[in-house]
Parts: sequence; C-alpha cells; structure tokens
Amino acid sequence: MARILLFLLVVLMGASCFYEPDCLVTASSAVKIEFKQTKTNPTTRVRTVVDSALVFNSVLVSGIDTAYIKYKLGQSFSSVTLPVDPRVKTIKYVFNIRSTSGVITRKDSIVFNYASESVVIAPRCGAYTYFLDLKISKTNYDSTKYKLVSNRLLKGTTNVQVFF
Amino acid sequence: MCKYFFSLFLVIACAASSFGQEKPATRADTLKNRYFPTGLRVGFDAISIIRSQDNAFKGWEFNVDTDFSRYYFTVDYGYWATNQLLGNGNYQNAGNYLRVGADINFLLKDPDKNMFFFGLRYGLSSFNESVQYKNSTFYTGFGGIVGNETNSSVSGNWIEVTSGLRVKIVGGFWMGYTARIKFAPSASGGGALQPYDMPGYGIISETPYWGFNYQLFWRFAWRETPNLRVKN
Repeated sequence: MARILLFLLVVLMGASCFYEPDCLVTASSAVKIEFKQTKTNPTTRVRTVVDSALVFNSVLVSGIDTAYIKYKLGQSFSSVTLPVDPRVKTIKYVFNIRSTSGVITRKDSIVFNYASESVVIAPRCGAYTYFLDLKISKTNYDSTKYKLVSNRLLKGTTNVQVFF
Repeated sequence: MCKYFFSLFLVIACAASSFGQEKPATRADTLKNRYFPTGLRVGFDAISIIRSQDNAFKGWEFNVDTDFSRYYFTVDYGYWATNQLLGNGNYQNAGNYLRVGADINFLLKDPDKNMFFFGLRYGLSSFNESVQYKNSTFYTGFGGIVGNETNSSVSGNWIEVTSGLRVKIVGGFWMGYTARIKFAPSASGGGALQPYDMPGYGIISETPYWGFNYQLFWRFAWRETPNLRVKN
C-alpha cells in the first residue's frame, strides 16, 4: 500500500509539471540584405569583409506603389530590411543607388521566391505565418557577388549578403 | 527542473517496488500454461468523457488488455477533437488514434492480479486540422492579412513510456490509471499549416508530453489465474 501511495504522489507531482509553452514568436515578414565589400590590407595582403555603406535615391518593392526607402540627406545603409508580400510567392526589390553628385549611378534589382506556412505557437500567442525556402530567382548581380545566408525569414537573421 | 524532480521520484518508486520482492524458494516457471491468457480486460477512459462536457474538447478512448503471465498486451483506440481559441484566431482538429504496446506487472504475488506496471506504447494517429487567424500589424508595408489553412489528412506516430495501477474493485469490475510520458512525435501530410495538435499525443512541438487516463474496466475471465506464489 505504501508503494501505491508513493506512486500516486509521484503522479500528482507529474501532473503539476504541465506547463504553458513560451510565447516566443521568431517569425519575420522581411528579408534582411547586408551590403559588404572586401578589403585587402596592402602590407599583409589579408582580405577582410567589411560593411559597405550605400546611399539610395530610392528602394522600390513590388506591390507597394511608393518608394519604400527614399533619399534623405546624410543617410546611408549598410543593410536594408524589406517586406515580403504574404499574398504572393515572389517579390522584386529595385535599388537606385545614388552617387555623391546626386545622380543615379546604378540600378540593381533582385527577385526572390519563397514559400510560407502557418504555425500555431500556443493558444495564448496565436498563429503566425513563417516564410521559408527563400531563393533568388533573378538578379543583375553576378553570382559571385551575392550569398544566400539563410533561407528562412526570422527576426534578427540576415538572409542575403551582397558584395561590392 | 520539475521534470527532473519527477524523474527522480520515478526511480525511487521503482527501487521501492523492487525492494518489496521476496526471493522465491523455487522457480515459478514450472507452472503449466502460465503464458496462456486468462482473460480480456475491456475499459474506457473516464477523463476523456468528463473533458468532453467542455466545448473545447470532444473525445473518448477504449482500452483492451490481456495477460501473458506478468506481461500484458495492450491496445488503446480513441477519438479526440479540439476547438481552441487562439490569441488571434481559432484552431480545430479531429482524428483517431491507436496505441499498441506491452506492460510488465510488478505485483506478482497479488492473488487478485492487481497491477502496478511499467510499459511501452507505439502510437499512431490520423487527423485533420485547420486554423483561422488574423495578423493586423505583422506585415510591414502590406497591411494585415487573414490566414486560413487546412490540413485535411495528417498522419503521425510517437512512443510512450507508461506506468500505472489496475485494481480489482468487485467481481469483474476494475479501476485504474495510466500515466504517460510521450516523446519522439512525428507527423507527415501537413500542407501550409504546420501540424500542431496530434490526437493521442498533444502539442507536437513539445516533447516529452505528459498524458494521464483514469480508466474503468470489466474483465472477462475464461480460466483461473495461475497462482504465481511459490510453495516452500
């Protein structure tokens, strides 16, 4: 009987261990693109990757009528975080890069394909759309000039690095 | 921390039960037909029936087991449907599940064949699920969106370690409980909705997952239980 009571106690303790899941939502609806450049130390010949600050005349996102990023005096970007359209599976970004003289010196574009899935985090937290399988389907960048770092859109995660 | 505390007590409980065993004077396996089943126990889970009074859960579970000396072959079959209110929407699922496994009885000397057991189960589930939700501020630049996804045919499996009691109350009427530690869940067949709540298992993203059944049984015996007590 003592053993049975002991086991009942254990079961009751086990039942008390039920826990609510953490309300941790890592989903992001934006692609993070970093701009980099490679520098070579003239004395040691060691190559290092450093941030490259770009000035945009504008950044356009397909599906949004107005420029997502517009030129502001003194503003430069070493990375941009641009939204994806949850209603479609492809998006195009156009970067109009501005020279110091103020004329557009370069127009780059990049087209991404992606998939999405709905994930229920917990009853209290709700459900969210997670974007995954990010792929670059078309771009004017040379294939050696960009790198897909992560194909999942998550908060604080860099997806693509572009080298200048 | 709590689960480690629980595991520690489980080990102590095992140790306590093994200390209670006396060494037999002679080997018990000299008994004839000891591995031939003596009856079939059929029952159902009372907790599922009680929980079904709530609109958020509907379900039932039948349990069957039969003895092979101290070993029991056991089958559970059930139905489970939930309607869960989310922070930003609703989630529903419904499906059937099957558990097949074996238990080992540690109360060998009990004349009524009362059981304190440990066992293993392999679980299978087939279900459908759907979610409706609204994210109003999540999509920067594109406004809010309504999500409406359905998985019409998902199948999954998992493994359980079980422990519990079966106590003869009167005649062929038995009561008991089963505590379950469920782990290694796997689900396939999901589409744009990541499978969330698997009938028979629970929240797939959480492992281990606990389960508990309080069961009522009727035992149909077709021969006398061999006396496993050993004469000196």
